[in-house]
Amino acid sequence: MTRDDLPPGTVDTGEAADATGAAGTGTAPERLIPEGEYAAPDDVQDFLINIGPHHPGTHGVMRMVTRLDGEKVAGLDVRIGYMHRSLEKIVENRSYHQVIAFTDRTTDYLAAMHNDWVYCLAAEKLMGIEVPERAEHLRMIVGEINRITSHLMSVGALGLDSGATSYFLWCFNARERLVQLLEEISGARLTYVYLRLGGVIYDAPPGWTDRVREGVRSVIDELPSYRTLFHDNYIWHERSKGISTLSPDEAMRIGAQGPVLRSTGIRWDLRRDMPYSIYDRFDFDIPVGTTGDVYDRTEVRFQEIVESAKIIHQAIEDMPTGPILAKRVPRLPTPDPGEAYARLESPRGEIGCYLVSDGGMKPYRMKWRGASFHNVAMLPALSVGYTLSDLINIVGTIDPVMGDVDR
Amino acid sequence: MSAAPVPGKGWQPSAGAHGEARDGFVAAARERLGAALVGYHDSRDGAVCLVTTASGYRSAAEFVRSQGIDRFDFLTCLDWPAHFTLTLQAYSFDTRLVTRLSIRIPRDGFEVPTVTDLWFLADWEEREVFDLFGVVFAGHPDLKRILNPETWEGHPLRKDYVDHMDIKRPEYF
Repeated sequence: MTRDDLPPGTVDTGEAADATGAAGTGTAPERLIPEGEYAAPDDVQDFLINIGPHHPGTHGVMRMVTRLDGEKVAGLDVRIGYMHRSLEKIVENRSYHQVIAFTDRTTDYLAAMHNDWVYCLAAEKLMGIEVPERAEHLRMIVGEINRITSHLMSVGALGLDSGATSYFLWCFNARERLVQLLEEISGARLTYVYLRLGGVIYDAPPGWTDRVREGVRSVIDELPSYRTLFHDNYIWHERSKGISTLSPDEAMRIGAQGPVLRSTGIRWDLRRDMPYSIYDRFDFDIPVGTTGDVYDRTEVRFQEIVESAKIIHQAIEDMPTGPILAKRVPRLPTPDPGEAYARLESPRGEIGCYLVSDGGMKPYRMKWRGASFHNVAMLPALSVGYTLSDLINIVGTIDPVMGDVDR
Repeated sequence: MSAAPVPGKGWQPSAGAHGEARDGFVAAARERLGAALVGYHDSRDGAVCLVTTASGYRSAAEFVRSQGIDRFDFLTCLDWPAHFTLTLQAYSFDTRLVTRLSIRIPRDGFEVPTVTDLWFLADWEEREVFDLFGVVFAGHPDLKRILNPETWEGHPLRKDYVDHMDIKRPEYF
């Protein structure tokens, strides 16, 4: 097929212009659609725009039915459930040990250590298992490394959403070094299944703690250049400051948690305020923001990386020798009938696990309190009134993991 | 399948774990809820569990909220052979007192009053319980399925739920 075979008018050959002698004079080409025919009527104010379920800005399979007034979001209806795998039903047919393989896959897979950890905490409360000291330190180190990788992923993806592609790759580069450390100790890069009821499964390989120190140090040393590239960038300030501001009262009303709550200035972190494991022994700060806008939420996450590094260094410093797994944890535990709830500060907020036993070898019921589920529930309250392009950034700052939302 | 859980061996009531906040809360609950309060106990994880009558659920939730228990944890349901247990948990930002409120409701045909006006996050949690257990919340602003498609039949987390599309899988135990 050559150009000559195409129907006349589809190819700009310049002949028409030549024929009229108007070449180069900037005359507008003839409109194929008469003006006015496809323009919106004057009385239409709102548009419904569907975003997702498959959309890069939703960070997973989430559907946002957005009502737009001009460019502003006038209403938002979030539809979830596209990745529902019924974790809670699966768990009712597994033994207590088998559940650990599901809690890191089916829930928040970017912070799998924390999800395993909260399940283990609940099950250990239910069964009265004491975790050895060394295992607590190892749990804390891998948990905080995982928090750094999760935060790097979060702020990096936010850069990607707002057009800073190279920043995303920088974050991924740093994250990769830490993921390799987790791979060294657990054998997996994303879904670790490293924690067990009563401890952890592998001890640290020789020289691992030194490599953790070096790896974390190298990431911390790079953070000033990240700040220069992205966080202090004028474009990012314009995109983030004053967007989706949240007052402390409003944050408490909608039940905000984690970095979203802290960005409003409320210094609340379960690691300090309702300590679990051995967090009460360590010295770290809780970064807070002032206005609770997109900028502050990102800042809080970014500064928490440094605090996690502090905890890792202290935990390595204090790490005792000894067993890594509690003795006499039965292969097939049958806890006494009862219930137990454990909560934990994950990178996205408060996660919890409510376990009920009827005395059998399978959990009678497990309720998963996902942080992302509640974060997404408050998304309409955060984003109405801001523009559609801001909405993508707002979704990025609450950092939803759809595995945790849909479970 | 056994009866509702009771504190087992080796369990010690942690009275005083929250100090005055816990004692004051329990005393206020006994005074304010009166006959609606069936019982209370300290869970082995440190929560104060109130058990009320089904008809007293709404007033008990209002009481809990009025005591400054503002942080919503979860709302869920337990499917026992003869009844459901609806459990709501929240904790206080100021005193860190964790409260678990339970009611016993019939498996079908009972409408639970909504608490969405007390806790913002109860909205989606109630939709989830409706979706997975079929418990209807009267007064909920938008009660529809949340995790399953709206055309889904049955309520999957009920123990008697049968998925007709499920393939046969081996019995592990």
